[in-house]
Amino acid sequence: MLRLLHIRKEDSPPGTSTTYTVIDNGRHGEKSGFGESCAFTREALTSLLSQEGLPSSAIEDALGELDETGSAQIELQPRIGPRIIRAWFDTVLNPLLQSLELELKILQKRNLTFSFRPEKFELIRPIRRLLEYSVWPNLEQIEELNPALKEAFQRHDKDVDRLLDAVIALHTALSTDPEFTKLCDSLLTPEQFEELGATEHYEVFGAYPPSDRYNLIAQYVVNNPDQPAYYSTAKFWNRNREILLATLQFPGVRKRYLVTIQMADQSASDNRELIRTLKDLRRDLSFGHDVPLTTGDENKPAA
Amino acid sequence: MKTSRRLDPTLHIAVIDSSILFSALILHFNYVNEQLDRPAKFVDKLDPLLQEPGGQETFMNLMRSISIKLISSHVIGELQGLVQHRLRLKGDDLSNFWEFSVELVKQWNVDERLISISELGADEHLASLISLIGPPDTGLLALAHRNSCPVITEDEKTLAREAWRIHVDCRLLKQLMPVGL
Repeated sequence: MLRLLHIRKEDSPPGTSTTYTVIDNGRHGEKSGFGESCAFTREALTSLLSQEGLPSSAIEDALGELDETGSAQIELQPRIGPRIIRAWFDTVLNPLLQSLELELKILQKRNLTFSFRPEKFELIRPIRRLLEYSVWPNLEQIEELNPALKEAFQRHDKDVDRLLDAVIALHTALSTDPEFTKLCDSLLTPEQFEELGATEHYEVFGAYPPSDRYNLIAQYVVNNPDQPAYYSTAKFWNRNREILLATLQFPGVRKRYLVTIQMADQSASDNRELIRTLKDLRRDLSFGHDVPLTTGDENKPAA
Repeated sequence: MKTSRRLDPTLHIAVIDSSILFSALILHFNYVNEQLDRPAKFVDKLDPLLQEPGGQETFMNLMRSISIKLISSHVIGELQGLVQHRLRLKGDDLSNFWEFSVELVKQWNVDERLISISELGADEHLASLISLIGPPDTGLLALAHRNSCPVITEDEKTLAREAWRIHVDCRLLKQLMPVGL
């Protein structure tokens, strides 16, 4: 979008300094209408043009033109206005910060929300997956103007990939470990079912078929979740949690577990840094453009 | 003193209406969020019986206790509309809601059955209900009739009234929840 600065040299009484009227058309990206009008001294005008990134030679040309003809038009880089900032806040920065703060809590709690089918994290996702598809262009605009932030996003997504690889390896090591499967079998005898008050498989494992039992239990060991009482698996998990968590120290598993912890710590550290970067950017944009961080009603549910 | 009006404390099999499943999914969404130190939302969208922690716990345990929970695929179809229009969830929250919901549906072994419009239309009694209460509710009544089990709903005005009229066992949430929680 074109941003034009219209400058007019005003008639000044003899003995007074020359003033210039500047109309900044499209300062906030408006497509039409009147721009903002301000009066400048010659020094202030030179300073303004310099701040806008105009080369010295172009400034001299413009001042020369003003002296000769009394007016000049200068094309400048469009400035990011409050409407763009508002859209960034509402569609990208605020939702991302919320999601990343949630992700950090999950990483710190070490309940990684891993699911074995499909192999993924329920609540840890690449940056784009944290946002609605329709707002991706705003994300791309921010990335375009902030290459360092783009790199930080890429680092986050690589962390997610690496952590997922580590967790998949840990889950596989667990669910295929003969000692682990033997332990699971010993916890799933008819007598054990009876103690849980169950007779059928689905009463303990819900819709998960018997063939998924090792995978599901290994998933719980990896995530170490606090299960609500209304979960089918809650009784089994709460009863056997300690003995099952001890399997993370099995010789064939321990190394994978340590790698996973290391990756989770690395992800948490990068995540913390990314949150700080995003908050700094948001603060600077807010103060720089007089745009509130939030209008407070972005997620207001329907009445 | 609490007096229980529970009609059948051990429902083995029941058809679950979308409003009931929707309430359970909201409560589960809130539970997971609270575990992550995030505020519970949408409590005001729930039946008054489910707006207090005691009622919520009773309800979720009641749901858990029903061994076979039947729904029609229409119910799942209705859920997305409810989530978008009543909760207005979007972005990451919407993704999370479905992640948690899928897990709860698996945990509860919710049995989703297809009741096609052709089947409903082929039955003289059910066909006449389609235009009265819509295909989803008609499907639930068909499912209850086919499995000789009750329907559980919060919808007294439409679904329950029609169920009782055609002698399908229909239990309202308020009939299943102990009074005086």
